[in-house]
Amino acid sequence: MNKVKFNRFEKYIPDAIDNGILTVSNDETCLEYSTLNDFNKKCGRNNLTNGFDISFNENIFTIGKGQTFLHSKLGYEFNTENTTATLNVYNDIWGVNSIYKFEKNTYIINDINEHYNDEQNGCDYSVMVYNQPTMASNTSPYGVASSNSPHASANWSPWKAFNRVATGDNCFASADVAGAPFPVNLVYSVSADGSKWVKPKSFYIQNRNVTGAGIASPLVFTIQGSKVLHPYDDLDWVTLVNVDNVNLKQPTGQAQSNTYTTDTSEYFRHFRLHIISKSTAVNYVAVQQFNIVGEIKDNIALLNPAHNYFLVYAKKGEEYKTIFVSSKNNIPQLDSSLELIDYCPIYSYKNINDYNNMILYNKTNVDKIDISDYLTTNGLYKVYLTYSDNEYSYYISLNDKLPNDKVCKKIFEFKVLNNIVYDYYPKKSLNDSYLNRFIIAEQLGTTGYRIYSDGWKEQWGNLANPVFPIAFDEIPLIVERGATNVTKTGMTIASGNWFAKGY
Amino acid sequence: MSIKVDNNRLEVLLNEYNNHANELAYFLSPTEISYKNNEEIINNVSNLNVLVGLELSTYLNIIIISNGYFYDSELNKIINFEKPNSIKIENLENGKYGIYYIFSNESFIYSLNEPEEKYRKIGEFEYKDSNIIKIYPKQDLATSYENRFIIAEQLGTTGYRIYSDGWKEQWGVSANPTFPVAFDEIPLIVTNGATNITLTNMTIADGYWYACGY
Repeated sequence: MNKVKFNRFEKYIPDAIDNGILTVSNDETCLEYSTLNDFNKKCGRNNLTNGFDISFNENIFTIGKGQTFLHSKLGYEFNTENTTATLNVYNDIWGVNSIYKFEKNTYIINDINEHYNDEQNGCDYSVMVYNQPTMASNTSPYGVASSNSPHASANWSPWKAFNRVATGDNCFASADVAGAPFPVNLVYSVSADGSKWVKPKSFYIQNRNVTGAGIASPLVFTIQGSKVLHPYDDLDWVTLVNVDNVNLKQPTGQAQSNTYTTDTSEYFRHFRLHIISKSTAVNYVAVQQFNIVGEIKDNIALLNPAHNYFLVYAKKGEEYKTIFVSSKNNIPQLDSSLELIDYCPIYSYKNINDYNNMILYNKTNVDKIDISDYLTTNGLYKVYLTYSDNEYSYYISLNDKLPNDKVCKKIFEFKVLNNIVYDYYPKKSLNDSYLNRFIIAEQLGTTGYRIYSDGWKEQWGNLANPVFPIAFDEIPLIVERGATNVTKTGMTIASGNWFAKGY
Repeated sequence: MSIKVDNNRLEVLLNEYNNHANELAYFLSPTEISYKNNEEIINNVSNLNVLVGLELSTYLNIIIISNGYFYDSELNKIINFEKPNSIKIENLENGKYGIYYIFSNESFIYSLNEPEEKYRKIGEFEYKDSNIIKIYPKQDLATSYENRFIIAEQLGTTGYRIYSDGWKEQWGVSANPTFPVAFDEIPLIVTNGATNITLTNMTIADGYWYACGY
């Protein structure tokens, strides 16, 4: 049997799809359909909404026909609970240096006060000012106060030198040095578990040595730091300040004080006042205040509760890694093994716009939205057109946070006050509004007004006790100085130029 | 041997696909389909002179130009930025700078003066005492319109409206007010009788007051 070959059949028009546009395939072998959205992307359509005129009657908004593009999405949302921080990135987000795009994922910091490492997210290495906390006991609120020679009475416990009280018996006193001779050590550990380190900058020491009370102030002493987890003897301590009463002296009078500085670049876990002698021949040595100021990289929530959060893209050797960090700085501070490449500051949530994947919505019908359920809470409501799973719907919210699974476009806003809708915007499309200059009505003259499309009104004149040319919807907010009895319709004022503004 | 097929639907001629990858098909005549590339149709469908996206924001001393695109009629081409661009600002003289896209090297610059080569202006910012004190536009036309050009407001006896270019109107009824929102510059319009006007407050006797500026 002879076969018939139809060459023309080798090129054909494929089965049609909705809103498809016929294009030559990339490999030039056939025709295929691309979508209207692909076409719009290639042709640079703007993202302005056409039509969608809004009107309102008896708690129902009517939304007219029109065309718009949906492109807004929820980029991420962020929450904290106790010391745990959780970041859900729903759509990829760029770092501020525009180098790296952080991918859709869930990022968790289990403890925002613990440093990050290869296994976990955590706080960064921001340097903060450390100001030793005001102690309320030997162990609270943070750190540990102690002494090798405490007074038998708790009235003069070690922590009383760290409670920032500058007068009275709120001081540390030693045991009887006749029975427990020098040195007397007054110790402050930065944290109870030894996990926090401080680089000291200065130490403040104030005397408590009331005449006749049998207490003296330190005369010869050193201020020392220790890096050892549990310092055992003097070899575990480094001298930072040497008050030898020759080259460096502590004044000896009651309540007198001195501040000693150090330029060490080292970080320590513990600090101590190592007292070798006292100012007078009595049996007890006392210290009113011993305060420590320095720098700290460890995140102690008590010091400063405000945290910033960042997604970080960093280079470690030849490898790149993503870390989620809490920080005390405006720029994340990494340890020396990491080079910061890019970072993204994290707020409670953020919307992003994907203009390369805009969804065209050609609305050929008139929609109605009943907002009766929203009249019980005052506020500015946003109405978004949303799209997902081939369905369009409206989403109403008091904030700008979008649903996390939808592409959106804000269509209009309305304000609710005292159970009624008292304004909404926009009432017309951009083009119609622009033709009206955003000012929808005006009367120019000695007495006049301009009404803006969001309801804002500016009115003016020069008569005494004017009746406003247009009644305000609310008591005007901005009023000529000297006016009294300001109402929606008029005010009391002496003759002369006046103005009033508001909704 | 020949065969005749009596079917009108087969009488459309599809031109060769060669060198027409990704082009749109169209009827050249009632019986012939040909193809056009994007450049040939773009000026018929693009909405001219509207920047889509390309919104400006700052983080510390970094200016971030968000993703977006615009149409250039001279090139008859969409200039598309699929990712944001960042410009780090350091050690500038005080002044108002324009932010421009330079076509020749496909980059963004800032300049006190208009560039001599082909450019598209994206926005502007003001630099003062080592800080970017304002930048505009923070939202593109569509978003600004949706937001009424007013990006924040607090209505009440004491209140404010902040516009998208940074202009602020603030008001109240009290003596010696602290402004609800600090101005970036000394306010320009204030109630008659006010003295000691700063970014954050002013001295005035009890009564209606008003302050306006950036």
